[in-house]
Parts: sequence; C-alpha cells; structure tokens
Amino acid sequence: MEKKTENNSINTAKEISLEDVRLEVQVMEEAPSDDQQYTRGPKERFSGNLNLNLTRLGERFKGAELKLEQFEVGSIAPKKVVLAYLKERANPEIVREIRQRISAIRAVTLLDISFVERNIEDSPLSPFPQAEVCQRPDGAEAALFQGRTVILCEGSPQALLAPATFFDLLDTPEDVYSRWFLAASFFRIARFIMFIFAVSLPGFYIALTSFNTGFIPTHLAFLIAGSREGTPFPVYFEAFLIMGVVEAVRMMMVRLPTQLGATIALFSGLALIGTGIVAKIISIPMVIIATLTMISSFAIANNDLREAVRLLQFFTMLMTSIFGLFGFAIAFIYIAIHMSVLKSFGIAYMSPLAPLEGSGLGHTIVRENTEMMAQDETYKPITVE
Amino acid sequence: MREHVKETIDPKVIASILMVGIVEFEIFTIPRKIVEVAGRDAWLSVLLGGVILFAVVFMLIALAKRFPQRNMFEYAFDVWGKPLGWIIIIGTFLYWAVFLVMALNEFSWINQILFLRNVPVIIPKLLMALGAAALISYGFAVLARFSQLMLFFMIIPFLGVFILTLPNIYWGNFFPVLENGFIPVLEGIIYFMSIFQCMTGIILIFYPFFNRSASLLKPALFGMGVIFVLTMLETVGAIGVLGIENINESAWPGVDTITVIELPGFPVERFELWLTLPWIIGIFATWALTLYFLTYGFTQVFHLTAQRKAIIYMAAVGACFFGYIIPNYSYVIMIRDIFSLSSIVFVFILPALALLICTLMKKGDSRV
Repeated sequence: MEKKTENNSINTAKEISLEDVRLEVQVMEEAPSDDQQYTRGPKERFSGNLNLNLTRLGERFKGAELKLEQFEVGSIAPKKVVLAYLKERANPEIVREIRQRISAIRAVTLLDISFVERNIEDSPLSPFPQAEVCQRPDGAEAALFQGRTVILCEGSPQALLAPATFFDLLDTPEDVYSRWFLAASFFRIARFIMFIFAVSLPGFYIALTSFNTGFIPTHLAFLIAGSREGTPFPVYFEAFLIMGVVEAVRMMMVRLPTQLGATIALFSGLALIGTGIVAKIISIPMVIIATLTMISSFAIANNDLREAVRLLQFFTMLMTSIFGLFGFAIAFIYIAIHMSVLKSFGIAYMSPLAPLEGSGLGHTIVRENTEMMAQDETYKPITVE
Repeated sequence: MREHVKETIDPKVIASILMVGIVEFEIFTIPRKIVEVAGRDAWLSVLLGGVILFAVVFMLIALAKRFPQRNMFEYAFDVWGKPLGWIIIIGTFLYWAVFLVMALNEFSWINQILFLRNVPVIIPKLLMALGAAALISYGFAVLARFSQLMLFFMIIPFLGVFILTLPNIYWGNFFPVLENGFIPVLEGIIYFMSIFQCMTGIILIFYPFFNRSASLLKPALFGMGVIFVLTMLETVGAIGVLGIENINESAWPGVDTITVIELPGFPVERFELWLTLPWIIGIFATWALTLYFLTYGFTQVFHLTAQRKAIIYMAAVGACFFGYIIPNYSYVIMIRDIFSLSSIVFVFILPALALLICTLMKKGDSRV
C-alpha cells in the first residue's frame, strides 16, 4: 500500500528566501477564499497568490528558521510548488520523502493543489485523505511547529499539511483557541462519537430492524414496527433511498451556494420527506436516522474526510443489508484493518492511538490544559517505519 | 535484512496484543468447564491459576531473553536437537492448524445460531478468514496497531458488562468452600490455563520484534493481569448469578449471566447481545494471530518467506473448508475439550522444559 518513491526526480527543488516574494506582494492583494466558519481564531485566509501566501506564512515566523523549497511542476504549463518546513522541528526523513514525491510528479500542469495531493499521498485508493487541506495561515503555522510540512501551489488558495493523521483531520481551530480545555475536550470527544454515528448509524439501523430485532428494547421495537406498518419497501431499500436523497440534496446545496440554493434544497428535501411520510412510502424512524447521520457527518470539519465517511456509510449499509449485525462487525473490522495499514508519509494513520503514544493523547483524543502549544512525538519518530 | 530486525515495536504494545489476542468466545464458556470439575470452588481454580499464569509469563520471558534476536522456531533445534526439534515444530504447526479449523467452526456455528440462520456458514467463515489473512499479510507492525485500535472496543465493554453483573450475585452460592477437597480445584486450574493458547506464541515469536525487549515483562504482566481479572469476574459472576446447577446446564454460562443485568430506565435490554461486536473482534484477533504464528513459522522453517502472502491466503481459505470434516457442533465442543488439554503441553510444558534444558546445559545467545 505504501507508495514507493524511486529516485526519478523530474522537478528539481531550489531554495528560495522570503525576501524575494515580499516585494511582489504589494501589488498582488486579492480576496481570500473561505468555505468554513469558525467562532474563534484569526480570520486570515490563504489566497490564490503563492507569493502572498508565502508572505502571510513568513510573517508568522520572524526569526524562526523557516525553510522554503520551490519546485516547478508541469511539462507544458509549469506551476510553482513550495515545500515549507521548520528545519529544527521537521523530521528530515519525512521532508526528504515529500521532496522526492513532489520531484517525481509527472504532469503537464497543476490546476490546483489537489493534483499535488493525489500524486504524493501514500495510498490513492484509500477513502481516507492522507494530507490535510488547510485555508488558514495560523493552521499552517501550527502544523509547522508540530514538525509537519506545508505545501503551497501557485494558483491554489489552500495549503496541504503533511503528514496528516486521522486525528489531525478531526481537529478544528476551536479546539485550540477555546479558552476552557474541558469544553474543548468534550466537543472533541463528541466529534469522535459523531464520526462513528456518521459511518455506522444507517447500517446499524438496518441490522437491528431487518435481522436482529431482539437487540431493540421492546417498547422501541413496537414503536418502530408501528410506524413501519403499511410502508411498501424493506428497511434496507428505504435506507438506501433516503440516504441517496440526502446525498442529492447535499450535492444540490454545494452546486448552488447561494441563499436561493439553500432554500431550494431545503424545500426539496422537506417536500420529499414530508410527502413520503404522508404517503407511507417511507417510515418516520428511517427519516430520523438519516437526519441524525447527516447532522453527525457535518461535525467532521475536513471535507475530504467527510466524503470518505459518506462512502463508508454506504459500505456498512451494504454489509448489514446482506449479513445483519455480523456484517456490521465485519465492516467495522475491515475499516479498522485499513486504518491500521494506512500511513501518511511513514507515520501511522491512527497515531498516537495505534501505535499508542501517551504524549500525543493530550492534543488528539482530548485537549490538555497547557499554556504552550501541545507537542508530541507523533511526527518525530526515530525512524520512519 | 531479517523481518524482525526491520520492524521494531515498543514493548508496551505486548499488553494490547495479549489482551486482544487471548480474549475470545471461550471467556463465555470457560466457567462451565471449570465448574464441571471444581464446582463452586471454580473461583479458587482461577485464583490459583492466575498465580501460576504470572509465573509462566516470567518463565516465557526468561526463555525468550536467552535468545533475544531469535524466535522459538529459530532456536528450537539448538534447544531440542534436530530430530526432537522437528517433531516439536511439526506438532506445534498441527496444534495451531487444528485451532484455526476448530475456532472458525465454532464461530460459524454460534454465528448461525445467533445471527445468520439462512446464510451458508462458509460465507461468514470466508469473510473472517480473508480479513485475517489481509491483516497479517502486512506484517507484525500492522497487527500490533490493529490490536491497539481494537482494545478500546473490546476490553472496555467486557469489563463494563461483567461489573454490571456483580450486584446480582448471590454470595451464598460460594459456600461451603472446598466442599469436595482440593483435587477438583487443581483440575480446574488445568482448564483455566487452557484458554491461554496464544500466550506462548505471542511472547516466544514476537519477542525479537520489540525494540527494548528487556522491558517486556511489566507490560506482559499487565496484559495477563487484565485477562485474569476478566476471567475471575466472569467465573464469580456465573457462579454467583446462575449457581453451579444452572452453569452445568448452560452451553454459554457467560452469556446467560449477563442476561440478568437490568438498568431501570436505560434504553437497552438484553445486554448480552450487545457484546456481539467485542466477541467477533475477539475471535477475529485470536484467529488472525494464530494464522500469523502458523504461516510465519511455516515459511520461516521451510525457507518460503518469498511465498508468505500466498501461503497466508491458502492457509486461511484451507481452514474454512477443513471445518467440513467435523459433522456437528457437539463434535466441535468435544474436540475443543481435547484440544484444551493438549494446550497444556504446547503452551506450558514444552516451554518449561526448554527453559530447564537451556539452564542446565547453559544454552542461549545471552545467558540470563
């Protein structure tokens, strides 16, 4: 699964200095992009201008040894790609690995940073993203202090943070900026639970109502049976239908990102579900499950991880539709195997939980009460496995 | 480069491998076996067995320490000599192969009774076996990470549910103590020890993988300690809740014990069914580990490391189909009982003899 990097450099790196890019910035200001809302923390965002992005990053490292390596990637329309890291913090083996992978990219051009991402990640087949997409200079700064690298691409308003573990992707800026560590820890744990809900809830419902009704408390079982009375479709069909509608509404909202779009999507969703329930084509418990699943999935801040969750949701639904609760367990085990196998640039994806590193739990599973930025050994292994 | 030099792991990981690797469905059936011989004193068998168990962990680590860079297959000939070494190695392979077939068969029968009545048993068997084969084909480091990941989903529910049974215990079921003397208690110890089939493999095969193997003892004792506590809770719960007459009638006393749990107002009934996921994880992890021992040992002894992946998948699929030679579940239970007794030889007696030979004849790479 792990990507084999041969020493076939196509794009060579050259070191650049922040002084070179700062001069150009004065005439290149542009509106930053923003697709996420945060309640606390800096509002500054990366823009499509590489020099401006580098300047924003550089302003945060006065005196620190920020290293920048620039690559020209693309045979027809080359684009600049910059790899940034802190020399005294980053693992040299990880930096070397990333440098080699960027050097080996064969492309005619790079339309966006996502083209860099798909070329350098360990397993392109995996549903899980192995690099973190970041729009905020403060997020990139935090990553650099953790010992990770930041990759910027000309024309892209996003940066890639690499390596990235599963816990990095579930992290939000509020966790870091929140005043009270207990509240931050509470919401972080809630997010893990919501991740599990988002992956498993429809599948679990199918298993319980179609195969293993004995698990459901008696009163609840009667309620579900009562509300399903008269509905023409089996539970699994109903589940696939409604989750399909949820996906369609979600796609519609993404395609029409205006107030009008949101209103149309909301109206369509409500009209479909409402008439479906009144006409007894779909049952109320299934609507509750679908809505809970959708709400849970939005707790995941990272868009790529959210996409992965949506696909895994259908995988668990498929397994439980065929094998009931046993299928649920097998789906769970298969996903766990994949997550155990997966690595991001030599770092185990489930680190610091597996392999367990006590020092990392304070800013992954919970947020410890610390005056300084949390540090751990995750990105500083003695050797890259 | 040898595989275990390439992949070195923190010694603390052994605790999670032991816990996830040893706990499986047997934890629900072991009270019946021990109660059958030791009666209401089964808890004493577990208690004394626990003391012996910790001594065995010391012994296994002492043996492994003598060959810090080699696993049990690599030093078998040095310890036993060639002819006896071959007999023991082949016997160990057969022992693990029988376990793979038996465990998968037992799993599929229970799975059919509880969950999938209309699905041919070969399908869930293959799903399990291929998953395990995929997992171990990535090597020990991935297996170690998987065990750490699963630990939270397995041990915590087991501990939680067993603790919830404690308020329902009728302590009068434990008296009089030693009603039938001490001999049945000693017999019970043999059954208790039989659930630790994977322990020897985990310590004697994985030892060279650990980067600071000298500090392996504490985490190993911790892991075994948790399993001991689980088994003790399970046995005490079964005797205290069901009583020895009902345990003897029950196929799965562990499961029947949990049926008594009631939490007024809590929206969950039939707690025993909610252990499905931990149970399936447990059997999967144990099965995967045994498959690893068998295929790793086999490919190492016969110099087939280049074909290891193919052999892993062949062994996994083979184990699914070999189960068809066992006619029904009563045979599974019977063979499993015989197998449990043979565990004593492979898991405890042979390593003890090996350590004795090494000590008397001063064998080992580093004499501890």
